[in-house]
Amino acid sequence: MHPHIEIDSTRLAAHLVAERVWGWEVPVYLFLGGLVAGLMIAVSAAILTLGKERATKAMRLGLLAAPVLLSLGMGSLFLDLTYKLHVFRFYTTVVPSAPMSLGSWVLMLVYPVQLALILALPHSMLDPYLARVPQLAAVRAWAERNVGALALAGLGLGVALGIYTGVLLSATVARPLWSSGALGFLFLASGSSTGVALLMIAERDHAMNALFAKADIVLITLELLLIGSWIVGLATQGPLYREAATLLIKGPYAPAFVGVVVFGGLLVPAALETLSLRGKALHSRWTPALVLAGGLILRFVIVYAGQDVGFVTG
Amino acid sequence: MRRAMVIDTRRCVGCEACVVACKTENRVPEGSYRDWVTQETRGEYPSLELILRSQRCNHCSNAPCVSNCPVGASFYRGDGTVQVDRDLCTGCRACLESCPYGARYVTPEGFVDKCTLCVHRLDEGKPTACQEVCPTGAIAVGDLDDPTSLVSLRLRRGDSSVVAPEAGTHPNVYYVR
Repeated sequence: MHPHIEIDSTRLAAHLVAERVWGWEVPVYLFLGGLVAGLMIAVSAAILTLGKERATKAMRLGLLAAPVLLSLGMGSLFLDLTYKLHVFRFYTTVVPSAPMSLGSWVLMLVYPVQLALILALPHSMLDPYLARVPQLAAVRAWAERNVGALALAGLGLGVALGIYTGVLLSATVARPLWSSGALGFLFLASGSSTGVALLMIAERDHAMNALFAKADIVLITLELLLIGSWIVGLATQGPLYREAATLLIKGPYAPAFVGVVVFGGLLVPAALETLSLRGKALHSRWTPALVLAGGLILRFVIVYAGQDVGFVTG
Repeated sequence: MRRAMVIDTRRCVGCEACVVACKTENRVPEGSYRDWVTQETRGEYPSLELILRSQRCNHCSNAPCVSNCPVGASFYRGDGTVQVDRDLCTGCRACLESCPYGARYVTPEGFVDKCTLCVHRLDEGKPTACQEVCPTGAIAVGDLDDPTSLVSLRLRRGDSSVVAPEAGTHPNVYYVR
């Protein structure tokens, strides 16, 4: 039996310990970063396996949306900085031990690959404007010739970006809830699933939508397995880690995590996608919208709940 | 040189003079603390034990705040202490999320700050502000590489412990009971 322990301190008296360090900006950034990673993975994989000729309008729109969404995410992260004038410091050094530093550089590599992939594919809306810039013709010809290599780079960078969004949390040490190697892969699977979901909302081609639905079911299954291994891992590590896991299972975050994320954002869409593939339900854009909402809430729950349990209380 | 602090919890009376001295010496902004006193009561009445700890940044040898700082603003000084270069800090607060002890805070200007172990005073041969005002001499600062230093002697004399050793950070602030 543990002895009864009561802790009081200067800081507790000043109500300083319970303050949350990271607010809404970080989960929004992690969601948008994961979504962009998913878009890059899905479109790059489609180009590599089906050929660039089979890239649908939805995929091309997804590629166009990726840098915009990523910039919104980085804008959100910028808002989170408390010393904004020093934002350039991220790009004056490389700290191999810091995921945030490595992630900043990955983001800088993602943009040119995204833009080259955009140039490599035809865009009915964009082409008249691109034709007015003759200097782009040579770049475009190069991108078209090397579309396979660019898709491979897009796939690799998408995976790196997706994993990074989770490793950013798991490397912190001080937060027991985030202390799991599964988090990087969970965020990768979740990001990929949200990327595919966004494509499903825009996709008009029935066959491609069916392919996306199959991919999403696989990704959701992976996500459920990773969530399971993460929670079981925490529950078997020690009292502090168990306390952190309890927050999600039966604590204050349980309605959002179990109800919205696991049930509404994973199980329900997977069931609806399965029924749709078997012809027992109509394809609805609400199904991928549920996946997107679940992915966003997942990140809010993990970032917020993670900050509620720490090593010291005083 | 490996600077460390050893606090004799048997001498501490919880007067919080160390907290006030630190705030004055380092102009710590209102609402933030570089050090604080924790009062831990263990057991059940009538078998109670009270432990008073003057806590601060542990200047860990394996500091996650240093490894997770994306711009190198948190760094190890040559004497083993952990410091923050405010000219590099972006205020991303990855170090606040990485510190198991919650020893860091954001200044009103936006950069992160914490206990420096008063290295500006130590370099001049003076004691740290908290050490100087401690009325019971509970706080000792010195070089662990010097076997004759007060910190080495205290660590040899009694049972010492660190806060949250399970975090694996190898703190350099020790508590003797």
